Amino acid sequence: MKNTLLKGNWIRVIIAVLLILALSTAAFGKTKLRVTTWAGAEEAALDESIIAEFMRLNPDYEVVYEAVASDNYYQKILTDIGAGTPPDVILLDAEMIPKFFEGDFLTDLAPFLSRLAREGYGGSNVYEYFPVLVDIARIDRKIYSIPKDTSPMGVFFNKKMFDEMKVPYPDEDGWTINQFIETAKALTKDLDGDGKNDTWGFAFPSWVGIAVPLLWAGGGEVFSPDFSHTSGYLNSDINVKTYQTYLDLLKEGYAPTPQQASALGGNSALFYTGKVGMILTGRWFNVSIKGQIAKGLDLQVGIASLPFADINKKDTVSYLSGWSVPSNVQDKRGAVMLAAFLSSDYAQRKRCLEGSLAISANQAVAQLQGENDPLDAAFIKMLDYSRVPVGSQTKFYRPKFEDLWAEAFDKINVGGESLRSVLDWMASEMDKAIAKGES
Amino acid sequence: MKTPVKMWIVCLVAVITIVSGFFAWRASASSAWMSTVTQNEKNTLLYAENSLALAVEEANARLNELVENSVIDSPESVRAVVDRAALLFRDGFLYACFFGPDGELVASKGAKVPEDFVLTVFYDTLFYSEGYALSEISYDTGTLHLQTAILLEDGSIVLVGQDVLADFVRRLNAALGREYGFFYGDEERFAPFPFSSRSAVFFEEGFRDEYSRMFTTAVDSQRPSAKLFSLRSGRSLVTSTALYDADHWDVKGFLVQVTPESFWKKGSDRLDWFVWLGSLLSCFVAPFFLIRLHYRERTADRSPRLRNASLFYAIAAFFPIYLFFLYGAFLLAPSLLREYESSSVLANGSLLQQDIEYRFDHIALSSKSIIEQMKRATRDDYRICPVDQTSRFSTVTTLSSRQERLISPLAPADSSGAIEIGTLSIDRIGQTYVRFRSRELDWQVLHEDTFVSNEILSVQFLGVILLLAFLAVALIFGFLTRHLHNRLLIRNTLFGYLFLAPALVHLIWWAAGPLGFSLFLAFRRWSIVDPAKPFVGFDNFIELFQDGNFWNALKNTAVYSLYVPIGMLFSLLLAMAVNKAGKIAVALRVLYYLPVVTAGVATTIVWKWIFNRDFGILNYILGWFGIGKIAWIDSPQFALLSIMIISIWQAIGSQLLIFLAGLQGIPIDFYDAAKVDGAGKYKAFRHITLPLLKPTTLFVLVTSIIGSFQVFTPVYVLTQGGPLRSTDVVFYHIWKAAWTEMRMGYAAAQSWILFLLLMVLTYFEFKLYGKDSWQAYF
Amino acid sequence: MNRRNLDRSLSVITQIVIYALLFLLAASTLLPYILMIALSLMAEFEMYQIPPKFIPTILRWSNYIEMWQAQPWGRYIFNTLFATVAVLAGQLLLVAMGGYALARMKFPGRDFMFKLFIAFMMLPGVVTLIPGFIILHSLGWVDTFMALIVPSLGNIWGLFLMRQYMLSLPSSLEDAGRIDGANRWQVFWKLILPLCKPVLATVGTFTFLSMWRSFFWPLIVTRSKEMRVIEVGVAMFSSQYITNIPAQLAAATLSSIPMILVYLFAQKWIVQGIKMTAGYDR
Repeated sequence: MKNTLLKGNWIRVIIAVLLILALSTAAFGKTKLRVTTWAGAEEAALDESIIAEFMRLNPDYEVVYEAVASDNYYQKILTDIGAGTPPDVILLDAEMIPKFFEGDFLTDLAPFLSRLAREGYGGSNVYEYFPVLVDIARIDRKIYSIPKDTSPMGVFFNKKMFDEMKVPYPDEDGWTINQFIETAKALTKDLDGDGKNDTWGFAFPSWVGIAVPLLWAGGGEVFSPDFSHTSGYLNSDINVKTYQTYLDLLKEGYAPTPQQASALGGNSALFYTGKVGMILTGRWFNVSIKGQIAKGLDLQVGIASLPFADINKKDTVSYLSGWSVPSNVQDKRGAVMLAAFLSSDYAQRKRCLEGSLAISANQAVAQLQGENDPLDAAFIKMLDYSRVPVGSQTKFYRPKFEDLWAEAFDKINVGGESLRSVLDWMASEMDKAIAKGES
Repeated sequence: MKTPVKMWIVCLVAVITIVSGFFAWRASASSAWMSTVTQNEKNTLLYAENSLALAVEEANARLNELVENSVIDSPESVRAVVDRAALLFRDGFLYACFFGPDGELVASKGAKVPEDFVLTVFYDTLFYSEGYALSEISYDTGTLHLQTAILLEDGSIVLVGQDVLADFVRRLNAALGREYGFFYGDEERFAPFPFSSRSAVFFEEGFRDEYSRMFTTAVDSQRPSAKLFSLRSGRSLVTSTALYDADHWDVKGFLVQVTPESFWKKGSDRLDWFVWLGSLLSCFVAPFFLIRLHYRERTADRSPRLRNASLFYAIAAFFPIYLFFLYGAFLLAPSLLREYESSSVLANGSLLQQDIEYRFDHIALSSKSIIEQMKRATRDDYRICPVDQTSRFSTVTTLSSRQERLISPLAPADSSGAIEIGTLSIDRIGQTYVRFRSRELDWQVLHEDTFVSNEILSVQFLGVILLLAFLAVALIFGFLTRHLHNRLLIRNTLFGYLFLAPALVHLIWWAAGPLGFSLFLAFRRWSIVDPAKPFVGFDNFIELFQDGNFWNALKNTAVYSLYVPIGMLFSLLLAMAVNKAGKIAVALRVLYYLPVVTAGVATTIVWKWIFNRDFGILNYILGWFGIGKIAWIDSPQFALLSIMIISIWQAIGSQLLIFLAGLQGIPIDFYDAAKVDGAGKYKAFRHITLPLLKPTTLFVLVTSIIGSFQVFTPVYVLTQGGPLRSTDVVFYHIWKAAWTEMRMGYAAAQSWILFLLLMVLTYFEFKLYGKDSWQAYF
Repeated sequence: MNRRNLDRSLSVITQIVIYALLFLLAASTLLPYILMIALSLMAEFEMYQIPPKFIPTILRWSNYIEMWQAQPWGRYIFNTLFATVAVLAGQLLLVAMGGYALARMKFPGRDFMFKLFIAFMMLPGVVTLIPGFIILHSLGWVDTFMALIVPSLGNIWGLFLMRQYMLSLPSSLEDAGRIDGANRWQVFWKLILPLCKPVLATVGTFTFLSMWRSFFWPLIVTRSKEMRVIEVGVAMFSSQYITNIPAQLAAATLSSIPMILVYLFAQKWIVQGIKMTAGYDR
């Protein structure tokens, strides 16, 4: 009696195990090309339709699209690379290109693109893109990345707040630091008379990605022209003067302290809830704002350039991402074709016109974007005087420069040190790191 | 005394184990060997292809110069140009022609002129060439030859054809010792082009499909592809590379290299000899010592000296294996692989020297671009320096300034004839170099050793693993031999390990290998994107000890882990409080578990609110006691404390469950007995609950401390390591070193320091608890 | 007499204080959970207020619909559930057998094995990720269920807990079983294991929790959308510059329900023999 019962049970267990094993080893189709991006759920949907179109136009190819949550993107592709199975097309930040370029890891796309362009293949004509964006990944005549889209940096301002406090809008063609200071002061008010400010002029720009273009806008530089050192550039008098202006505004209460900002939900929340009149950030913020307005947020937004020290010397940065191909892929031509298609007219229209996710790197599509949305038009104008991000020129930017800046700001904000001493410290640390050759 | 059958069986099993161990090693060694051979052959083919490219460059340069120095304005001048071309390109001259702007043939010289040249793709390509000469291999006139053409300003074209490919193949053959051949066509339709009677050697129709597959791989990946074939002439390694048109887009043909087995057979044979010798020797030694051990066991008394002696015998039984593995992995395989690489680099170098002697008339004008082209073709780094100091050529190099800075001095190993070969390192990455003089310049060609180094590394890695495995094997066989007749012990051991087997197998499979790899990495430098993993000795650790931030993080983490004992006490009290029947208890248990399932965002918002300096509850309550406002999360002094509080709060749910389970294991009789004896609640807790929970509390303590040292996400999300690095934790450094700075070796070193620290801590925790079975109390 | 009254009133006061503290703690753990639900029903611009809004003004159920439609959650749930159940079954068996061996069986090298297992618990996983991935890739298991299941079958922590628990069981059990003629496996399966219900439930709960919420390993070893698990899906709501927090929290809320249910079930199993064991209130 006992034995048969046991046998019955064991048979069920064995069947279950076999079923599990069978289901477990089911692989999902044969892959020929893999492309990885850091898209979120909505962007992934758009990308998938673009890839479906690629597969329709090129039936020989099968593409697997791997979207990875952006925080873990580099861990995933580095694991793949370290194991010897890199994806065929990789989306890369401009700041990561120097590192990836190191071991001869990326393919020079120029010869492929020129031939594809002659055949009229979508996305391969280098002249269709904004020159500054192609230059980001260009070394001599070699191109290592096809630009995807870009986000220049600017100032978002709350039109309603400006109207209520009767503050004039910033000039469309650009404004000076002094004008910025006055605007910030005018927007800071103590509405309920409790001695504490309830609205502030602007959210303080402590993130390195906005600090560097601010320093540029102030007329200073951060690295030496050959990127061999930062002393004399990062801690120059101009930079101290520029950033000190903003720090003074912070000290005098025209911007919430980082602690206050964090308690109230961060810079974006401050802007949404009308607590700050201006926020200095990139075009990507437009996406969140549109989303919130669609959900009922009562906000009208305008765009201004970053404040310049000299209105005739305009300078800003445009961050971008681009598609690259590792040099040890199985099918180089196919990979380059895919990479080009992912930036082609079709793709750009889908992502940037329909999805409005960023400013298209393709000049024609960007123009259309500008016609659809005055905010985008303002950003596109900035591309005229944008520069490549400093991180795309040197491998010491990420993470060394970024980490040092965060620590430097901490020293000023929490430690109470002076800007000059902190910048001196930072420049010497950077130079030590560059000299050692480690990042 | 007769040796029992069982002992012979043990010896047989030992022999089988030994033989399989050796064969496993051999499999890995020969795969590394063939891998190295293949890679080096591919490299040699690249040099052969480069040789062709240099010939092409030279042809282009000649045609450029010809056209520059000619004035073409009349039919006579056209004829003159054609004649001059015939003279200039007299090596293998086939034809020279001049096509007018609308494509008509104006003048020509030579036989078999391609009259319909204007219909070819090459003709179209020329119109994008910006006026520089281009070359392609072509089959247009029935013979595989080199076509060079240039577009003139008015749209007319000068075309020259040379039959140089046969000579080229002969030259390669002579210089490199391998067979070469050309194929014309693309990867699906191709045909071999016979240049000599030996052409049959490299293609047999029966292999067409496989050749097609090989060609397809070469075309797609744009790198040489190789395959082993058993041709009529013997086993050979066939390597092929695709030859493209002037646009580097369409495939026009393939250059194929056939390496006969004689090139690598010697190495394979050496490995075979080594394995046979090793296994035979070991197969005699092992049974010998095992049987001796068996006899000692049977005859001698149970003295402690015997135990050590049996260990000695067990190890001795397998000693030859250890020696062989060590020798094989660390001496034989590396030398074999490196030898092949050296000879291949030398061959490549000598071909290069011949090419340079043969072709470089215009070195002064285009040295940098030619060097860059050579580097592009072969991926090696080139340096040329003037031999004579007064020479007008400056140093031309493809090395970056940083590499120039970090290059070590040359260490010559040999010089055969005019070529010197040796090793050096750039930033610790080993390179093999060849050096020769040509045309008053000193040439150095540096070839990175990374591929071979990585292959050697994998052989060494496997060798070490096998060594450790055989140490375990020695212990097992020693044990078996000693207790051959103790059936009970054997059975107990067998069943013990059988029960443990699933967990143990899983551990060794998934954890042991990666652990060993990380130990290897700790002494190397690896930036993931670059496959080179040069040995850097203790550099990682030295840098670690000098990094103040790391030690600060370690200190923070250690302080942070202090929350564990406090949290444990708290959870234990709670567990006892909810350890009763009733809906309230159940509800409380579930509520206390909620932090485990609540998303981080919500937890962060609530606690940021609680800890808020101005509006937070905590400061509000503290205000009742007259304590001033504390900026919890934003102050360097209290940020870590805030995080500890949150961690205690979050750990309650999980620890509660464990303590509940543990409490169930205490029989109620003990408490009844205690009550009868008149003990109060506190006494019952101290003398019954706590001691009987020791196994559980030990578990929670050890695992929580290990967990606390590996904390990362909660801290990162809340404070990102600030303010002023007061909440910087060790794991974050490891993470950053690995994924953001891309320095895996450094991350491995940090991981091992953390690992060792945790081992020491855990050892002390166990010691603190003493005997951990409560059987001891009875 | 007076002393007894004093004792009793003191004990009443202590009881009340204890209950108050217990409920205060319960409130503190409940708050974030309620906030999570509330935030999942808000729009992002409504989220940030001090003090936090625990009751949203508008209940945006559309967040849940949006979240569900944005990704193939049905598939994610199946993947996670399948992997979790498979791992649970395999792991509990593995861990129980191993724990039994380490706690109750006698064989040479037992304590060394135990220390070996503990040692392996201590190495941070960052550097072992790439070799682990290489092993997986060489087996051809990348982007399959095997990749999710097999590496998670081992659980040293669970092994450790099982061992500690089994140590505390009386040895008379095995002797009785042996006398009755049962072999080792039957002793294990029929005598010891049923007594381990509490610890099995504990390990099972933790395993369920860790598999249900596993994020990093599935992220690395799966490629296609069809193989994603729940947490990976949740992370997909953050793109490089914006995070759709309400959608993430909606997914997190729904995801938390099975975990709470499993906990409810497990803790009942643990405290089953409540009448037989110790309690605080005597």
